[in-house]
Amino acid sequence: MKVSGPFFVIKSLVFTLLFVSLRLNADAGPVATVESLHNALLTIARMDGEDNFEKKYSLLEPTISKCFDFRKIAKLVTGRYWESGLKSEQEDFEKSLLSTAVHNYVLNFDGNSGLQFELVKKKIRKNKAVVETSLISSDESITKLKYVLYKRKERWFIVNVVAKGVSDLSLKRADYIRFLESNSLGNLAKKIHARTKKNY
Amino acid sequence: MKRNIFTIVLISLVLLGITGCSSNAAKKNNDPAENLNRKFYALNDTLDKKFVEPVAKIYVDVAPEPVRDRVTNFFDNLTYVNTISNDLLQGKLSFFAKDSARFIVNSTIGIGGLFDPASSMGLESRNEDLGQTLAVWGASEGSYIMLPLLGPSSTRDVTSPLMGMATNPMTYLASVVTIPVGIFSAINTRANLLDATRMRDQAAIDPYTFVREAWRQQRTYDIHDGNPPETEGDEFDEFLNIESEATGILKVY
Repeated sequence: MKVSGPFFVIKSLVFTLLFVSLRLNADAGPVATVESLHNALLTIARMDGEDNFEKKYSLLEPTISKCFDFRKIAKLVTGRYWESGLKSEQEDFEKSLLSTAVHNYVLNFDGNSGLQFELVKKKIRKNKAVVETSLISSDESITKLKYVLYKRKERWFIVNVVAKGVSDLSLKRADYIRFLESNSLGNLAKKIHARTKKNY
Repeated sequence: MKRNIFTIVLISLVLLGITGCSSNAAKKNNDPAENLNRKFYALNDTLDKKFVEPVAKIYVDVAPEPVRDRVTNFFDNLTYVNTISNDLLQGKLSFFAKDSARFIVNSTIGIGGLFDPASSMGLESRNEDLGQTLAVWGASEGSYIMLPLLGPSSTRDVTSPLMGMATNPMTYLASVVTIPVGIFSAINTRANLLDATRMRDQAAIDPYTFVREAWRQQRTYDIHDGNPPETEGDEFDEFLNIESEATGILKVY
């Protein structure tokens, strides 16, 4: 195989940089995932909070989508009802979880410019990890936030957030399973979408 | 007012005994009186939406945050005798000493509890009550109860408000003082919960179930002073709460 000198060097350099970049991304631990979420939330919180909900939503959505494993969350919060849903219902339910998460973060972090995060503790156990943080408001009140993460294909995803001892996953599971006892997964997804629109 | 609350609590307990339903879901959720509880929840929610929440929102609009903070500090300080008493009942002597010091500092330097200099001295605010004491003594939660006007509770926790009242200095003043101050305290408490109820309304499909689960988890957290035991069980439980290692503050950003 014939290769030209300078072109080969540039090509090799690009591939090396790409490989290193991918490797770094793959090696990013659970703390990096949480920090990525926090940095996006701080960006939203520090934006001028008037009439730019859509802008904030579109800024936050890719990060939330990247940091959380909504497929895993969907399975965990619906338990045995997950398998009874059609593929389209499952996909719609996942989308509803993403949409409601982004909506709630935008609504709750809007106009809180004095927020600060403190990284307090971390522990990694095989493919699971916990990262404990504190959210400090401008009035110095502290909310303890515990993130439970799961490693899949060399990447860490958030599957649960525990705020002051109250688990988001557990609340969703109790709330959704109650609904699923007499409704389909598709109806639950519709209900969540409707709730999200109503809040906006 | 106080007599009314006692009467309501007693009536609701009697009703719970009489009308407790026994569906499988109710048993599984430790909520045998779910049907009645849901009625009380609806009553509380209606009263809240029609009367209490609107007044709380006006209060938030009218009173600047520093003023509301002073009011909250004042009422929190009044309830601190309850926390100190329960520290002692639970044998938490270190917390008893710290909470007593906090109460003394805030009652004196903090001008009757209006200010909170104790927190900046490392004496952070805590909350103990009779229900937590009974839990530390080994009492299980018992059945979930939704009390009219007072909100979520359980057979273990139902007596907590009584001890709370008995240890609150305001109880021993003339009713001409305690009634308006009690109403003001309730409005202030509701104002402090506006964010929490907004989040409930944003997230919950069935608000009754949502509140019940949130209340239970919050109680477990309080009973264990912020360090609830690690859960073990199916795959779902594994993701609820993995124990972490204490490493101090790693980063601030």
